[in-house]
Amino acid sequence: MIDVSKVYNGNVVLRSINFKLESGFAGIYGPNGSGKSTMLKIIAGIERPDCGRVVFEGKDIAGKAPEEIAKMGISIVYQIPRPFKNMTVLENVATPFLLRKSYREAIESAMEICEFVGLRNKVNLKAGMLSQGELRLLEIGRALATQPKLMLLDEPFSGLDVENAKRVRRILRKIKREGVDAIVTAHRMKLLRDVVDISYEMRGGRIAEGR
Amino acid sequence: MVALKKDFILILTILLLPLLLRSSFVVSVATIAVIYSILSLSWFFMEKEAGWASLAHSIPFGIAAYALAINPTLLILAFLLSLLLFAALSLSGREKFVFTSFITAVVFWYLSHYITLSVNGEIVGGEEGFSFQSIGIWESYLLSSSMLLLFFASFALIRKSGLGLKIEAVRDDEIAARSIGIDAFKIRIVSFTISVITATVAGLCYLLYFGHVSPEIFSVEVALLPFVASLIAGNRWLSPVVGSYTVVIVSRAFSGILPEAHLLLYAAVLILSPKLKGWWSASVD
Repeated sequence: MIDVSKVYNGNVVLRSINFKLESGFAGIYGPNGSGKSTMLKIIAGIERPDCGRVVFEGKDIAGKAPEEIAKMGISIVYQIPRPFKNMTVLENVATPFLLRKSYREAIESAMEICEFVGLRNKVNLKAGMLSQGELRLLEIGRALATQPKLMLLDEPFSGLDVENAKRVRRILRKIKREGVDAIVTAHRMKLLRDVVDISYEMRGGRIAEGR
Repeated sequence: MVALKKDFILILTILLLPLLLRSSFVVSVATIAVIYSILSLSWFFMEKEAGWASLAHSIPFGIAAYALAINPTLLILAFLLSLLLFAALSLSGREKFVFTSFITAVVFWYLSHYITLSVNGEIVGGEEGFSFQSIGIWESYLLSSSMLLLFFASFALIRKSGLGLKIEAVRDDEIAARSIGIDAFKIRIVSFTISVITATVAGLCYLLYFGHVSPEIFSVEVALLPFVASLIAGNRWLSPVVGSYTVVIVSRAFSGILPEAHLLLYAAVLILSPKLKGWWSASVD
């Protein structure tokens, strides 16, 4: 991100953000309203920046449509899960595969992802029936099904009990081992420990030095 | 899928009954019910599958009948006009779509009174509408029944296909669908196209059966029919068919003593709709 700014109703949410991720997992922590979610949404194309550039693999993607950005290899996991609630878990995960594969292949690949995220025994349940923790796993599974190069995980541990937070942490480490890059946000730095390679603090729409 | 197969067998049984009874009166009533069933099914696809509740399916239905009656070469134009109209109305969003579509349907109904042509120096159309060579009752029945079965089976297949999943994904959460790479606008247009094709075919069957089309085809009653029909019989794919049959049968049964009986049925269904929805949800659970 190069000099990216965003203003909502007169409130400056992002102030000339400059942020670079070479590879690996980067963590961004900070209080509510610090601009973490807005930053991820701008990268994913859900929001448009007021100014600045977002460069991915040498191309400026700022202002591009979310579907175009997803096809380039960036996927987002929302803080508040957004499942396709009338579809089964398997169908949720199969849907991104349908852009590249036949229905049968998509279902087969989705089954592997469900196994990967630990939802193998829930594949036939409607997404609307899942618990908060399972919904988070489903979101991660669905994002993985886009076969991303970069994952944007917006507060993946929020609202989870200790057990589910551990599950998500375990899965994130597995994803990291698969060579996918990611930007993970959280309220506190300690939530990101042993998941990310580098952490940045975000406060008042600005990013501080990494550590 | 099991429920869909059951529904398909039920529809097949309903369609075969008039053939066994071999009564022209029964077949004529059944033909009207089948034509309205196709129309309601097209509405149901757009509402249930794609999540766009329209009150303007009388437009593709009526335009198709008018186009065929005036000049069959206008059919493609009629189809494109309906599609373009739905696409344009959808730009205002799902919540407003139900109102804007209804207002548009009323405007079309009003304008249809002024569609006239000069044929050999004589003005035709207007309130009287246009005539066309109809086909026989039995032929009409077989044609519209085949179309109903074809569309019902096609919708079942679409629902279990990749396209069906994409349509459902966009319906459930457009932003989430776009975030995984689905072009939501393209999918919306595809689902409108499927629905408009179905309503167009219903309009053609209508004209081939009646041999005449007038502004009545754009009336508020026709615009509301698919919505009311779907409320009557719940939230299954069989519902638009059962609902359409109910409206047509009630209307025919009381035509002698109460010509507007179907309007009473509409009113009752609309008043009871919250209760009906509750009952159907409970029966599904």
